[in-house]
Amino acid sequence: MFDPASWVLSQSYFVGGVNGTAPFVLIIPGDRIDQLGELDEYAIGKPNGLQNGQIGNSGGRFDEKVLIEAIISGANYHRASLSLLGRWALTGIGMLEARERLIAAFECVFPPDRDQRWYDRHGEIDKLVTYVYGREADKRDERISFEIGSDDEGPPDDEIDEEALRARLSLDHWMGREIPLRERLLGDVLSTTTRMLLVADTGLGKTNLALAVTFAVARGSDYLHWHGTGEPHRVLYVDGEMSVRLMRDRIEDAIRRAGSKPAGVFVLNTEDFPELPPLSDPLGRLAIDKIIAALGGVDLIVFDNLQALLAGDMREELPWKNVLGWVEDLTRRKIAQVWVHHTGHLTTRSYGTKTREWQMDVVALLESVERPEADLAFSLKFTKARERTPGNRDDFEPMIITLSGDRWASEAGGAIGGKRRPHRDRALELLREAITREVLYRRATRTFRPEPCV
Amino acid sequence: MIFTTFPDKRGLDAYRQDATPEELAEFIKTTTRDARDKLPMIKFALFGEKRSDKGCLRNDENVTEITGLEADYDGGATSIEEAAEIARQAGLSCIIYSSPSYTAHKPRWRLLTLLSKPYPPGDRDRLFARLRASMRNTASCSILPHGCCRKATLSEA
Repeated sequence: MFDPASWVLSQSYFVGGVNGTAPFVLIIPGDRIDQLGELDEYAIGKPNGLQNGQIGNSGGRFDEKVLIEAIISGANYHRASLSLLGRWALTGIGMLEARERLIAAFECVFPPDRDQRWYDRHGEIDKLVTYVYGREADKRDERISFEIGSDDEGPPDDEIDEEALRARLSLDHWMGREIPLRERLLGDVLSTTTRMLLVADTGLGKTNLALAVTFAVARGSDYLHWHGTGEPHRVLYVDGEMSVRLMRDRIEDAIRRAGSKPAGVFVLNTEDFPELPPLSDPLGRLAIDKIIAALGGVDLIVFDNLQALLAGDMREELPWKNVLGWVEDLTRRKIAQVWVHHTGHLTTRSYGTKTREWQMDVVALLESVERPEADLAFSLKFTKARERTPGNRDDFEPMIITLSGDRWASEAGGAIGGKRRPHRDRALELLREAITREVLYRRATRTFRPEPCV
Repeated sequence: MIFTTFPDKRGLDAYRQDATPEELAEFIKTTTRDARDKLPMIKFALFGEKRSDKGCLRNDENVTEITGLEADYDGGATSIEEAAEIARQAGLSCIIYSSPSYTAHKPRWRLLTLLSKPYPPGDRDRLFARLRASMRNTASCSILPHGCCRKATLSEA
């Protein structure tokens, strides 16, 4: 903040104004600087005041504040950054947030103190973030970890607190848990934690359908027989396959069909971002994270499509494995995902490895049907639907979807227009949710009452 | 409040002063010259008789004790009012005044802060680091997520 010359012992300063201009002078009451000893905790004046091995690790305890201050003071950049990232990765801090935190610490370095080390290490932040988070993702894949007991630091790995474990796994614990309600985006097929794989053969209308869903979610409106929420949402549509011209046409079509241009729809076409790495590359995922942050967060991302956005052979596990940790991270951040994918020679199943369906909540398969009068026609069936219950079965029924004269329609049970769930059912569902919310609220706000004396 | 003034930047003469903050503020406000180089200089330190090759008393070897700290800000981003607010939040007693090149678009100011007693010159780095921390932790570090800041940030005030 201050001019480096201020450090010079005998440095003196002019006082007064020039040519009759009186300076502003403010007197601030307070303590003398030598009486503010607690500031020394933050006041590491000259670089290299700390040695490697000391920072943030005294007595084996991790001290985040000390590590951040080691960066801010210039005492240590690399080791402190690695330690912080490792800790954040382990404690579930998202990669984007970790990156932002680290950048924030670097930006706090007093500009005149930014030496070549600072510039070198600042330039390496993305590399460090991807390295540490990639390493942690690999470890996660290789282990099964149990978190035993409370959210506080538990006992060491080799000391299992059996009582806490029993309590944690008990039905009482399960029934008493306060689990947030689903935040629906479209009927019961899409909520903010849904991971959907939308599979179809080439040319069937995947993009048109995905855009229609995008618009409905962004507007909060109904689409076919699926109920909208009535609330607007933000949706990022990532297209990796079409040309800009074609994408523009598709967007125009979608606006015309929806009858509006929802402000919450954002479309990224990779032709506009030729340097965007594939999502199987950590930097590609980081770029999307940055875009999400720049948009102020989104509720749904549509990835169109898997083959175009990931590098590698889709028959292999590796491309999807690379992206899996991030997919889970998006879910933790309550960002719904629709992954559009092709079928292979067999048009009844998705191309390549089946294992990617394991992590999906919903797998929707589109197949061609004959409807000569329609512009688009396909059947839709859900080959996987984790959220399906007797109460919402209609949302997951197989159906035929058509687009004729810019109007979408669905046919299920023989009736064009789809079989909408009666409003009575919907009302009961909302009532049930309201009651659950009330119970959660009461649990959250209950006051402690001592046991009565008998 | 003990400090030294020099009639000009040559530092051929030095005058030990004793004044209240209000008196010093008034001195800063009422002193004007037709050129910056003709303005007097101030230093919160006491000087001996060792002169530099050019006869200047204002040199590091001639500092016998420090009685306060001076800091110069020419970053042009933080206004004098913001600086005052930061100092208030830090609980720091000080005088802040605009430098001759101050403009509203590019604020430049100086901060003078006293010590409760004279200190050896060797303590200045440590104390200046503390001063820098007091101003930095309340301002630029407000973006840090984990409360490395000692006081509330400006935006939270």
